[in-house]
Amino acid sequence: MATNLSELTDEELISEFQTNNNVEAYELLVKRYKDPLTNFVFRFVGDRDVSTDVVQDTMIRFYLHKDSYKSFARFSTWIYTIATNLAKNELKRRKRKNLFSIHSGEDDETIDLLDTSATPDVLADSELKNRIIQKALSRVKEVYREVVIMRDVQDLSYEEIAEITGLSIGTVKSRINRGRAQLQKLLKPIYKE
Amino acid sequence: MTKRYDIEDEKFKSVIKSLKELPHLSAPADFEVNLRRKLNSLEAIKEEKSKKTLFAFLPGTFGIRKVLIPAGALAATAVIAFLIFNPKTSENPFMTAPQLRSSQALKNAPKENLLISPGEISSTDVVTKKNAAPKALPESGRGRLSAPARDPEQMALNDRLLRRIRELNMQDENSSSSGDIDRSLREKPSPYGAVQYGNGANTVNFEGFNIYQEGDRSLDMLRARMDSIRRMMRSRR
Repeated sequence: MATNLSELTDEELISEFQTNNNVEAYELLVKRYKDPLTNFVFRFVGDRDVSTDVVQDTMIRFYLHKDSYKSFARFSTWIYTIATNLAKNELKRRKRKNLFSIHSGEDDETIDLLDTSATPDVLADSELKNRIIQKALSRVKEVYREVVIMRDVQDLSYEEIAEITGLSIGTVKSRINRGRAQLQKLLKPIYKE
Repeated sequence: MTKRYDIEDEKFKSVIKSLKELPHLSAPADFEVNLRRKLNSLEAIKEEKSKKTLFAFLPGTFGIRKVLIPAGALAATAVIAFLIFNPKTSENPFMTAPQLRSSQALKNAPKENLLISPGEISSTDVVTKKNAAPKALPESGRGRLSAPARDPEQMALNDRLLRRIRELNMQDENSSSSGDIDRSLREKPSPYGAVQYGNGANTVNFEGFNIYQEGDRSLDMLRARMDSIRRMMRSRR
């Protein structure tokens, strides 16, 4: 049975974990989802360490509350929902923390997007470009940001995003476009050629 | 509608391209090790907590603990609620008089030996066991005095029985301990002399819940007279 586990789908694996308490099935699911979730949470919160902690917390919750998963839902949407909620909670916590601290907590080496020095010549360095995009993403409104990342970074379908967020597909599409519009506005210096 | 969104996808082509080109971040190498460590510590805490609980002695297999604890609590609550709210158990059940053996024997007696069915017997009725053979009574009249008796002998027997029951009921009423206390007190002379009854108009002071007995007032009258003589003598001085 253990040799065939890798051939099973996500839903079959969680079923195996639920019914037989097979930890190998759990570990396999962790292996499959740790990277996409880390990337998603990092793009959402903008901090590598925090994203690792959030994903670990997601996996712990998945382990402890495995029975709350119902077979009619997709496993990917279920785990993304947990991760999104935890990431949002983390952002709220950080906002509260920043509100009461003297230091804003902003990284000193962040680049001002409206800085005219950030011309296309300078942005030849892709590393810098990525940082600017990440910075711009963090400035997009939270409700738009989550769906833009899910769609354009994680390549999730509209249906999956609707399932994760609990919104209708129409609302998801409109939020994605609003988020993109905000991002385009923020990244104007990059596209100015 | 989808077409419109596709058009808008074209509008944000450069943004979408930039986002798609972003490098994908991977989880750190020690991710799973740290996760395993956290899970182990959580399980250890969980075990520690379960050991400290009051019902730790119950086996946890097959969810026995999950079922037994709430069931026990529910049963205890039901018993307490029953003892508190049931009006029949207002008196101490250990102090109530036991059921009379005779009535219990009556209930257990075969119905064909009874002249009255146990359902028709009230607390004031007197039921006698039939000494005669069961065939002495016709089938229709068995067990019911009110049933129409075809046999004149049977009717006479029924009448006699009813009369006897009434007499016994009358005796029972007369001999019962309950009754009008005022009437019985008026009828029977008190051993303490003249006792006042009535609406309390003639009573002087409340002297407790004892039967008021009129005392000798001649001494009081003499004292009053002596006081008035003393006052008169003082005023003359």
